[in-house]
Amino acid sequence: MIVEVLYPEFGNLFGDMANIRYLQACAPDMEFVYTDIRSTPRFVTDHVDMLYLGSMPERKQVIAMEQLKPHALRLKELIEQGTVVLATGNAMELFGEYISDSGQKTQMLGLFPFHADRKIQEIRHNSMFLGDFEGIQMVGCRSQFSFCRGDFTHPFIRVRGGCGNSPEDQTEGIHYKNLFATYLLGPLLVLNPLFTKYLLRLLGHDDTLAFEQQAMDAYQLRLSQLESPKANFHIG
Amino acid sequence: MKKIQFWIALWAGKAFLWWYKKTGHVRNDRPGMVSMRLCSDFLKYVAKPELTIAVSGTNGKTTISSVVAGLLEDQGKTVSFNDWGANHHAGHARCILDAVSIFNRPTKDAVVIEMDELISPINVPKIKPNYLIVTNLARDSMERNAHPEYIGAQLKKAAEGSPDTVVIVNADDPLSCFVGEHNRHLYYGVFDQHSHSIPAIANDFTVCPNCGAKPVYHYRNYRHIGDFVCPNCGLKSPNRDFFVEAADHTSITMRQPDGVFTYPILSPAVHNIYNLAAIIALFRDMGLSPEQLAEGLKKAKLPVSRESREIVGGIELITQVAKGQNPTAVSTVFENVVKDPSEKEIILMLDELFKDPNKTETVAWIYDTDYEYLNNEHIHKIVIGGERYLDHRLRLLLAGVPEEKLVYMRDVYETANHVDFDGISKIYVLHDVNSITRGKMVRDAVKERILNERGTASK
Repeated sequence: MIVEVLYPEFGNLFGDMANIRYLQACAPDMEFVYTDIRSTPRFVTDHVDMLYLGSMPERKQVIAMEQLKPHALRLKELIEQGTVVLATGNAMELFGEYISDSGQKTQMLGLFPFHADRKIQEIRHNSMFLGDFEGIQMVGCRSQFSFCRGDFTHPFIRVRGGCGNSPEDQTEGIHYKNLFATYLLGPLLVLNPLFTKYLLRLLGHDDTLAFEQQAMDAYQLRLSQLESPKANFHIG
Repeated sequence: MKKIQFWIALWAGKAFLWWYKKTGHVRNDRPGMVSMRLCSDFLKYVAKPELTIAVSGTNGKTTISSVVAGLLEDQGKTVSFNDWGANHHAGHARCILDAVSIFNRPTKDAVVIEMDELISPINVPKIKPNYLIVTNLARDSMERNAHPEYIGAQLKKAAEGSPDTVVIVNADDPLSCFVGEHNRHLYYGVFDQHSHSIPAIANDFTVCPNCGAKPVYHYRNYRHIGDFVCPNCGLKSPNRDFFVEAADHTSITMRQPDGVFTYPILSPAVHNIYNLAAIIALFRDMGLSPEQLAEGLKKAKLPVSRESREIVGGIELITQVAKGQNPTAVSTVFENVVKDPSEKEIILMLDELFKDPNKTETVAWIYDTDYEYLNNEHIHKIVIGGERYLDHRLRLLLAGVPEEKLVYMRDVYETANHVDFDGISKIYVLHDVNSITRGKMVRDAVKERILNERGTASK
């Protein structure tokens, strides 16, 4: 089983690489391939079971997009075939049509009909998050300069607390076939052990987690705090 | 209209400052807040003393501004400074309010302003300091500072907005060394410490900002700080005007434009050698002789809020600030702790929130922090306290620390009851910057236990 980590030197901004380290701890038999920005992604020519892309600085989003753009059709093909894809933080924006910033539009991969409105001097959105994905309560946090708007007919998470793709949206992220793209950043899989078990099952792997009880303890405490009627989702 | 607003703001701020000083609240920003609310351009119009020094950057601001203020006072200058972390608008206004009269005339010789990087493009152009020291840039709290690339752009804007300011930058920091390129600038650096820096999880200098190639280091002193070059386009660390050529536990030798000189050190930790290099560059550029500066540095001390050391019953109790939410600061503290080969126990209290059921805080930062360093044979036990204790426990387990070495609890004050004294010579209390008092209370509780058990105290 092969997991390809795209551009780990870029997509490691807020502890996102912990997702991969945790997968490694849970599934030591998996093979992890790290593709740097100057290399052709493995998925272009070879089989991979999962692709991962994490949060990155805004300038590097453009570089990553330029590297992926020639392979957009192949990426689409893999998504349609059911390859597991996980994108955290602003990596989600790469799958949309464009990012607008100060009147300028930067084209993205165009795989889904949405765009990101970035206002780097005006938007500093930091928040905690609580939501529901097929009965799994998802927890996490966000930190971003942009919001996504457009047609989200395949939402990932229904918002229970915090913010959706944009303040006016009650859904968060994209779940299409086995692609999961979310603004939730950082160690998503560590913070959400039930979702990690779901993902491992999706990959056809045993779903026992590393330090499962300890991960569940931390998750339950955070969940109980976020489910409190007085929970404050604004941070920063 | 603006001028009238300014005068009202000045007088109101001065009145508040007088009252706060009279009632013993010297280190309170509220007078500055009042002035800023009444006049948003207060920092632009308020008179500045002859010498204004701003200190910015991710780590080292408080240390440098505190030592600089002390050295200036040692020279007989009257100084206003904000070295208690009041590094935002109100803190800056409070600091300068204390250095002017009600007629808006300078009453002190100097102000030393610790400046948050994020607001530097707003306040540096208004204050127009004589000097801006940029210590370094590194991954910091994502809520406050997003990421280093963003903050680097803010600092560049700050320097560009005050073209007459002399910018003092760390030539060994690839993320900030190009700040102030269009100002008169001074570069400082430190020789190869052969520090065998342990590889870090978070690395913000993975590609050359010019061409995207992978940079290489001639040497790396800690994290991304070192002598770098891009093998593709040739971008490299700037030539240092002030370069520490040698260091031991008591002194450093520094090459400067006018010769090679020796100075006493503040602390042997590598990051403090960098801090010292910045301080020396500043004072030498202001015209102080090496002898005068060395004499002043003999009396200089690190701010006590950052670190305390005390030997009780044969065990050294050490408190250190490890800024929660700031992965590079905490990792550096962890690295220094494990480079100390003593047998030890550690109390960790790194959370920002305390017992507020309505709040939670992100823990993404702990997965950018090198908890792996703490998987060390000389650490007998790690006692974890605080609201996010279960997250720290999981992180330490994932870092490979054996579960039997971990004790964890929500109540930080309870941690003092769980350290053992047998077979160790040191206990570190590593606490967040917002819990200096709590850190000292825990230390004192440990001290009391040692005294009760061993019955002796020795300094």
